[in-house]
Amino acid sequence: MTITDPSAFGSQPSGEDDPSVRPSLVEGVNEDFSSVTDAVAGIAEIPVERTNRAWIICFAISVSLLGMLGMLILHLITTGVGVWGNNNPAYWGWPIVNFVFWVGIGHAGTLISAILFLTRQNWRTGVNRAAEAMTIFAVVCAGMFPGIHIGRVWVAYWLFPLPNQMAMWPNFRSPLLWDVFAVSTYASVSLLFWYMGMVPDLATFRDRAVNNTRRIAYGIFSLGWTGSSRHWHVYERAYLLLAALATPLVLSVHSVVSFDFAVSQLPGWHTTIFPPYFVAGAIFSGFAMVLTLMIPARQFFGLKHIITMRHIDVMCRILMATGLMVGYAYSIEFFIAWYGGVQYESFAFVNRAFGNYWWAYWIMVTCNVIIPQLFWSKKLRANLWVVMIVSITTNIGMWFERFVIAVTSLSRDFVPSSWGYFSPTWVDVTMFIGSFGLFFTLFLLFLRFLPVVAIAEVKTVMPQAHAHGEDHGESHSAGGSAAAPASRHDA
Amino acid sequence: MSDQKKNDEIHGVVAYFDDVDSVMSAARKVRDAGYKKWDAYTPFPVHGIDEAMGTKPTILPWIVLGMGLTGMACGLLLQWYTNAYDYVFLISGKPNWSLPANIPVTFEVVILFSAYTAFFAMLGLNKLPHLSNPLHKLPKFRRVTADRFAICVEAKDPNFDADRVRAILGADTSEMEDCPVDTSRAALPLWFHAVMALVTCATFIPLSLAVKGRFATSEKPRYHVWPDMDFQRKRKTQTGWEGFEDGRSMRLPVEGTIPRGELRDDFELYFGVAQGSSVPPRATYDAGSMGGEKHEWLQSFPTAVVVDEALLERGRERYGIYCGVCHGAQGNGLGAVALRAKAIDAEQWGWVSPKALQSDSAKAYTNGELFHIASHGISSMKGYGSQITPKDRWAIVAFVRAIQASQALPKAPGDLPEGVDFEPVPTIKDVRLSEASVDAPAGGTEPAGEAR
Amino acid sequence: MHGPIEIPTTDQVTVTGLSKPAMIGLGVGIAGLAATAALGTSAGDEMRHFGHSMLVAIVFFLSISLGALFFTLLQHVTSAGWSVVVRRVAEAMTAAFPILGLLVLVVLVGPVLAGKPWTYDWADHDFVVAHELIQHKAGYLNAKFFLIRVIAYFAVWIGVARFFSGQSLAQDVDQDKSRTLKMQGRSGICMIAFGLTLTFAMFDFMMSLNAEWFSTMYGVYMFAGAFWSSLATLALLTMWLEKRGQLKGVVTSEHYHDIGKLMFAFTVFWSYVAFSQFMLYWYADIPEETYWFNYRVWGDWNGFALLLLVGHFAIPLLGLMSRHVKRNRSVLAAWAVYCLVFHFVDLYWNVMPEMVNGVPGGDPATTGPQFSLMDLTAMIGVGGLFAFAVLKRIDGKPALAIGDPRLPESMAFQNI
Repeated sequence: MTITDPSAFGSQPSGEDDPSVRPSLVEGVNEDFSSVTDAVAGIAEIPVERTNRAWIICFAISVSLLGMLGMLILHLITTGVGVWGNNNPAYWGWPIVNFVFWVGIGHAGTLISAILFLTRQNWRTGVNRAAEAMTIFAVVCAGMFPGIHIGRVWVAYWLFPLPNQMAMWPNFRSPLLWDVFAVSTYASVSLLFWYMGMVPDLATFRDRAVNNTRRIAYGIFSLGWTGSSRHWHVYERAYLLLAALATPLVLSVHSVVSFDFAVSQLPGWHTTIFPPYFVAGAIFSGFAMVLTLMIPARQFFGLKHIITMRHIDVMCRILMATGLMVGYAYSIEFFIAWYGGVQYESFAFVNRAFGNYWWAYWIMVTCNVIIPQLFWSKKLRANLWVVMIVSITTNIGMWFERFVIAVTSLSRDFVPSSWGYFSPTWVDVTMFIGSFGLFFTLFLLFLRFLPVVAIAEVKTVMPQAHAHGEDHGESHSAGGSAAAPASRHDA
Repeated sequence: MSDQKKNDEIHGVVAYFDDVDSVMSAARKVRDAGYKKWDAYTPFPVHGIDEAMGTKPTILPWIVLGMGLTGMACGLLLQWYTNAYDYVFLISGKPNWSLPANIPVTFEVVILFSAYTAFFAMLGLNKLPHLSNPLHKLPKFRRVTADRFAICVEAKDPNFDADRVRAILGADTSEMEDCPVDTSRAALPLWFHAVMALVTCATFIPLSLAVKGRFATSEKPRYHVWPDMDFQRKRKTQTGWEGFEDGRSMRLPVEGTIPRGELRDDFELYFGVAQGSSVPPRATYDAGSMGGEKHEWLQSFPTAVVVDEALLERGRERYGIYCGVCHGAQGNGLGAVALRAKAIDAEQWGWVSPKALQSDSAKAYTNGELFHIASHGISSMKGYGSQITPKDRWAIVAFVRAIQASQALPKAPGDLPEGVDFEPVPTIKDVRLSEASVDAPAGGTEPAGEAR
Repeated sequence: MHGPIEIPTTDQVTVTGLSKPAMIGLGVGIAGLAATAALGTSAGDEMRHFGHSMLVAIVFFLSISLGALFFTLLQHVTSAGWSVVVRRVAEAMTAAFPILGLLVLVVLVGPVLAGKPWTYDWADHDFVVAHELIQHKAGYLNAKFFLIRVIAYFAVWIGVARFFSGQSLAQDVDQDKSRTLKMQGRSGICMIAFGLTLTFAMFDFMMSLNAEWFSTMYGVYMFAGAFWSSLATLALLTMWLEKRGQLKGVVTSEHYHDIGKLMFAFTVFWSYVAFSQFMLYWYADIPEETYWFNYRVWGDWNGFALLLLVGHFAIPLLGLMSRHVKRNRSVLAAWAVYCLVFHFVDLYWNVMPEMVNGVPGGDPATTGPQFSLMDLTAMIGVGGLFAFAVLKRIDGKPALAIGDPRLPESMAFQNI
């Protein structure tokens, strides 16, 4: 069944030496619609008592961390934001760094779903569902940090333009309010996009259900989907529209996050490259997270023929490309800091690289720019250990990027008398770790109970999905590139 | 007739197919046979089946476009109403209605409206959720969401004829059956309905509490869910505390304490009286209680004040800022306030016109008295001690003396010293007020000239 | 739904009879440049208008070539299949680099070496002495280094363009599939070189017009416009070759649909970049940065700024949205011409306010656009030479990458 699939870490991906032949997206000679359905639905149908042990261990750890996060938030709310290390001059410390970090991770999902859908990157079908789920959970983690950062969380509703007894309205000229709109729009639209893609697969689960609880639960959320072609017609158009809307939305969200920094006059923040640079960084970190999650998931859940080495190879290349874009932004910033002739700006950048926080800066450069260059080698892209390590260092590097931006600029004010050095407290550190608990708890639940792979979409890229009245050759499903076609002819 | 009867009992005829080719072929045949109420069911969207079924393009994109534009209008309107109309406040020098700063939120609202519309209009156009479909009752139909294809021609179609449909579908199908009309009730168990009903009712509780809170009144103090620093472990001012012997929460200053910067041992400078004289009360000047010999008013200037050109210049500047609006720039009592008061006939409400400082009565005051008047006021004039430093008050006194001296020059042109072109300023009695003179900036020579 | 695909023979797609149009292009180009030079010298403004008009024209066509180079690289780096049928046309559009390089050397670098501020104020020694900030940059903005950089940029562009079109042409003959892999392998590193050279070239040619102003996003902004206009040119040139018969039956409305989609995407991308750059400077309101926008958006150039907002963003956004527009050749051609016009407007708005800015007493905020016949003749002149180079390259060679192993895939390509 998984003949061409490398079964162990470190083996080669299926050869791609002949450019005229596109490798098939779902590997294995006898794959058909029912085996794909079985592979994906089988994960969710495992009886509770036979749950994968690795899953149980991971889940136990995640839930413990989540519980810790809950306690920490309670501690924060009852004591006050003084429990964090945020203090003059670095008022934006770890909470904001964590916020940007998680929002960034939340970009790859919608990117894979939307942009790759629009550019007909059919390879996305194997990973898009999990990536979308990752997006939503990451955005949940992200939204939590500014939520608790406001201090008095019980008045968080002031962020929204709601009529109130104070007869006041929020300030729409503030980028922080743009953030509220961008992140909440992004969260809810991603949720819709994810859910809508899942409706047909939930119907599959409903129809395979062996007991009433499952039938009712999946039945309600699948909304009575029958697979009607007339429904598919509207559904596909709606999906296309959502993808077309989500694409600029993805770009806008991290651009707006970058505006939080860039509209200010603080050296190191106020630079015009910030919006595209943040977006590239977000995609970079998002793909790193997808790799970090999908490599173990495919290993443990028997999805190696659906999430193939080719998927991993393509994602590694995207990782490297976006890493280079981030590197481009770092260098242009440095150049313009000198070229612009503003001494504050030059100081801010020299201080980043050689000041108090030189270690954070060089961790960032090493992890984001230097290490991903390993992926120039096809061999290393095929070695899952290397891919795993690089994806993790990328996540570390991207966290440090946000730390470098937020903290180095703030700690070196215009007035040297107010210079300071930011130190996190134990609450900062444990809360960040706790946010991983939140993320992984949700993600593991998703892995266990929901369709991990977009079953219906995978079927559309299988050779059997095309009528033979058309010109579709056997074993040529769609290929992956800037605009891969859905069909191909043998010359 | 028997067919007609049968049509009432069945929902439709369902045929199953094993691959894409056969379902496409069957779909074309059904389409060509002219049926309207029928559908093909597939586990994934089959490329080309829309054409095979003759499905018309959906209007969904137009709905989404319309809602997107609505979103744009709403976004802009919201920002205009909240920041430029209803609650105007200045932020970092930006205009209240700043379009560049409003674009991000407008964009997000457009996306929000469009995306929600795309999803919910999709549900609406597909008439979903639709949980009780007779097709779901067919065990074989369940494979349609996994690996099988089906076509169902419904009995509701006006041209429906079960045998004909079977004949059409029979060529490609692998299996065929009739789908009975769904006569069973509640597909969901009773407990589910009960729970849902409870939940639905419960969702109204917060809303009703909010409504009650909005319209009901209560005499009880606000219930503090969050303390918001309202209660703190500290003593407030002017309250008691048993911890100190005198029972006060505040401490009294030590005997003989003088507030910082309040040491006033130079009587000449601070009170306008000779050193060692009795200090005049901090009260409005009253000729009855203060004139005469009660206080030893200073005739000249304190020793701490050096009268020179710089002091006069300073006095002129301070005078222009604090005094000129009433007394006029030249001390003739024709300041803007005085002119306005005259124009509206303010004396009927007890207004006292500012004194012309060249008048003999004004000249009669000693320097010390003038200083006291500048500090604590006279008649309806309030004191300026809190606004003007003592040295500046002395500078003003010096300037007033200068005005008086200049106005005392001989009136006939021939008597003037060489090179001096002097004309006495008008007094308030000479002024015949018109609207123009009231609005004109008073105090200078021009308005005075106009007034004449 | 469509018949079996027949790969055309080399003869069918080989372009012939272009030498005459190419020579006409050369003639028009030389005549246009001569007219511009004559107008420039007689204008009596020390060649200021000449220099700036020529800059607009050179960067206009340079950005088309750069966009085409990016297109070619992008297809290789992503091993795309759909675009094979139009890739040769894009490759041909990169043939103009040598002639554009020559123009840059003569019209832009020459005066700088001679210390004459035809285009760049910083070329003038006295100007630099009077501006402390520019002295700070003298290590970068000086004549010799400028010359070295320009040579480096064009060396990279010509080298990369020649490698990819050379390999592709060789593949026409030997059908060697390994060439595709070779191009794919090199495309990554070439992409990096492209990104850096484009950025710094645009800093040098465009941003240093106002040597005190700076923006980190400027390279991205110029790239967005370049790729946008290049796609428009690609669509037009492909249609022309299709009409002449060389690409008939090969290029279908599916391919135009994709080019149209990219045009639409880059309409949005350009607007995104332009807005971000403007908004960040407008919001922070730091005098050193905002003044550049101040006289472009609020002075007498205000009309141009509004024109860009409507014409470069709103109208094409709505116009290119529909799939019917993108699939209809003549409608898409009209939009392509429209895009080229607005790319010109964009460049004109970027360059021309600086014409009076460096001159003593010159104030772009109150001077406003000063149109001259030179603006037109420069475009005709450079355009003629550009056409000459591109047509010369196409002439006698297949208009289709006939040996590309992905050609059948591209011909069978259908939008979902």
